[in-house]
Amino acid sequence: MSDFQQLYEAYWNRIFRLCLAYVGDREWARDVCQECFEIAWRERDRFREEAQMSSWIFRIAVNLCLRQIKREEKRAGWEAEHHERQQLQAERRTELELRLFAAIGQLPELDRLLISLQLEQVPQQQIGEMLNLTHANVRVRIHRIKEQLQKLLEESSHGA
Amino acid sequence: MEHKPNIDQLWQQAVEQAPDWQQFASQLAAMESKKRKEKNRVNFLLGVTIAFVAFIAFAYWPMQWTTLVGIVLTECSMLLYLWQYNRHTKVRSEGLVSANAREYLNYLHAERLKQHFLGKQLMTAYFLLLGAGILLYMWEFVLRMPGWYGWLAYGLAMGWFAVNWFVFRPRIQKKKEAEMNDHIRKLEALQKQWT
Repeated sequence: MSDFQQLYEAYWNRIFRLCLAYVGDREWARDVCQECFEIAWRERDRFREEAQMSSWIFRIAVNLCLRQIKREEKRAGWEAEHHERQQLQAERRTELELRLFAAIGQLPELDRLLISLQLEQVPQQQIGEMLNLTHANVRVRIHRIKEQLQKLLEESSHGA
Repeated sequence: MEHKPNIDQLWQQAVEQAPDWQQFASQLAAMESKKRKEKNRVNFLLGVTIAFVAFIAFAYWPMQWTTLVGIVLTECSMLLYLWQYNRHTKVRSEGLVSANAREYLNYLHAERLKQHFLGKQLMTAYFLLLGAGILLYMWEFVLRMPGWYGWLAYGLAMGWFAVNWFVFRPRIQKKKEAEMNDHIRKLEALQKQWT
């Protein structure tokens, strides 16, 4: 198994969640995620030089998310079949899980990235480097965002 | 007492199966091959055109200096295009891969300036060189044409240049700049969330 395949299999789902939390649409998130791995593939020579694989792939994903402005109608043919399979699985997703992503979607864009990286257990030092924030600032913000998310989730459960 | 939802646990439940690696890898390989072929095709076609034009100049040594200058200008425009084309295909993912969010914004600013420069200066130089080259090249042959045929040939050539200059060039440039400005505006708005 190649290094890149290992990266792909270990990180696809993690990058997908980050993209989903940012763009709020599964299909769009899949496209961004795919683009992220396409770029990583093109730049794979650099990846071999990187000590921090996680930081490298997340950094590409974060920058890609930041430049998402509008939905682009670009989907490769092979992905359509995969998409249908995923739709069948969608019904099995829990109500709470959907509410969590809806709540994250209500946060400002940078807070979405912060909380997603934190939930993916990326070290706070690395989050700060990726987003150009100090470690202390990351810690404080994440604490505040978590409180805000709990509140939003509780509100949505009362409203449900 | 009400049970609080565990955010970390909920997050981990959001599982999306990755598309099959083999399919993805073959898709990537096909994409790379397509890009390489496209690059080779452009280089080959322009290379052959440049060689062919040079061959005409040497094989049928022109009678008038206008033809020779026209050939040199046309060759220069094609070489300029080829140089830019090959240079541009190399550096597309640089900012995405190596920068943090703020550096990425700076990178996009730099890209916008570069696009502006390419759009305005180089495109202008390309069109002027090519246009002037072809019009000068035609002169020797137009002189040999009877009556209004020469006017017609020049009229058609200049009409085509005018369409490119006044319609296609600004349209392409405007589209590229609008897209880049959207990105920059969005990133600048995002930067404000940091403060």
